[in-house]
Amino acid sequence: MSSSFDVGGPSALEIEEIGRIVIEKRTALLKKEKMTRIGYRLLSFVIIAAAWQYYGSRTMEILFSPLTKVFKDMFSMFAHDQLASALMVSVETFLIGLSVGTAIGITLGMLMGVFRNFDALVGIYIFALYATPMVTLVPLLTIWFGFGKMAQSLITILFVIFPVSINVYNGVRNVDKSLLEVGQSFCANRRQIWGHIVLPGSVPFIVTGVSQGVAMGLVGMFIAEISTALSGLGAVLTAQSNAYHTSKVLGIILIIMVLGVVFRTLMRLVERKVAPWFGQP
Amino acid sequence: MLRGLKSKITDQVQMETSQSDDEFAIRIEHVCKWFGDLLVLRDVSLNIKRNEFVCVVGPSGSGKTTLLRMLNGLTEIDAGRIVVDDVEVHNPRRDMAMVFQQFDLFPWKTIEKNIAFPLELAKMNKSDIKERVAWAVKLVGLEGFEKRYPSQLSGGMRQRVGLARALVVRPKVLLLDEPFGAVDAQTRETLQEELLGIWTELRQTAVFITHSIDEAITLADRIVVMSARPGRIVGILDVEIPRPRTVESVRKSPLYPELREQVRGLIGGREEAHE
Repeated sequence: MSSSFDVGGPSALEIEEIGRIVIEKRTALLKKEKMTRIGYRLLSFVIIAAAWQYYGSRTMEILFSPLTKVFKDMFSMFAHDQLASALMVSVETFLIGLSVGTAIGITLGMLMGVFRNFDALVGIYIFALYATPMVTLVPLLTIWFGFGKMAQSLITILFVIFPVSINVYNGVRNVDKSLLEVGQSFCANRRQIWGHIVLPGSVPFIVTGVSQGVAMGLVGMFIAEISTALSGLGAVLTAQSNAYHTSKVLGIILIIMVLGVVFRTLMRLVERKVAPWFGQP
Repeated sequence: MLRGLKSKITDQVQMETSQSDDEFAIRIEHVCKWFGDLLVLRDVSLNIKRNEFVCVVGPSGSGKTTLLRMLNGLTEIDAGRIVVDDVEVHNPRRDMAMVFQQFDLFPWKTIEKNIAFPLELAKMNKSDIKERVAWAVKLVGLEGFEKRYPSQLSGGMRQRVGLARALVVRPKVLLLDEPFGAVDAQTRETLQEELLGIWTELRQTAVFITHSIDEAITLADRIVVMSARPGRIVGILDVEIPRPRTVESVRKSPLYPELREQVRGLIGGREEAHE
């Protein structure tokens, strides 16, 4: 059976052994690349922290503070419970805004994407509101709903709804026409087309929408807290900046950044859970 | 609701009439189709026998894919009619299944789930689905890939999934729309070989669209040749190369060069359309 070109080659067992080594090497290389990336991330971290520290300790305290002082003040604020309770209040507003806003946004986007007539009915207003800076509606909302938790939640919800609904709408509209046809060809009814094709097909867009919703929700939360009854992190921020406690203001900004990153990471995890095919090699 | 009811009635009618020993599974009668004001199919009539493998060849723009889509009920028939198993075609039906040119698998479903799709739509019970899917997976040689996603497979393997998804229905009529047009030449031959094997085993009515003359000769009992726009049938040839066939046995058949010339002559001496 063996012809001249495969004489003396490795046996099947040897190939298996070689394969193991190759795969091992490749895994090691991938791991190394990952470590390198983590290294760069740490490096940038150190550089920024050093520059911050250096600049902060040489400039007027009212303009900027060294990182060490920012952290020290942050801890003292936590210790005096100026921060923990405010953080809880803010996160609560944010979570209400994000969850309700996302639910309404997804529903609106889906309905608009699927039902042409519903799109004709409300589509233009959704796009108009999407294009309107939400901040301009805040004074109106405080007139209508007062200054309490209700108004704050509503403001946050409004910030979240539009990016979510527009993205979901685009997702539904962009579902592969040929896949819809496959459904049709195999006699799928309307509900099955939704469940098997439209919904999973728009998951990437839903994820993008909710990610934007997270970012906009944080903005909404802050604006709500600053422009209504001062409360939560917004109140702390306003108080500290009015008192020119720059280091504390910087500390609060850092906390907000961390909050944003944490929610984005959570989103990624959820995405990997519900849409494992998305971003497959 | 009404639609569901209608399809139930249609099923009923089919069951009652399927006993009739009409030799034709498919009757295409004077079918015309316009896209906008452009005539793409002109008075196409064709009868296809039960368990016959028919290949439709023609250059791009001959409306062959449109004809197949009409058979499947995906495209409206503007004039004339198509009758499959004594029931006129208006909508897609469960007794026909299509293999698509671009595979059109669901990227979010595993291979197994992609193949199970038509059965899940038909609300078949889980254990039956499992059994049928395993059968189809084996038929197209995809064992071991059940849990993978389409993006992890090669083009040839993806189309095996596409084929399994249609076969799992056990359709009376199998429709194939240039199924091997999007894979490389070697894979194409392998797939033809496999389809020959599968078809020998299942023996069901099949309508296969292609613009490769070789492919048509390899697979078909009869070749229907269509002309360019407006598409119409310019000739029908019997392929009397004995079965079981292989790609090689067909190439070596003395009938092969002759058929090739005939089909070419009918298309108008033109080379096969390029992909």
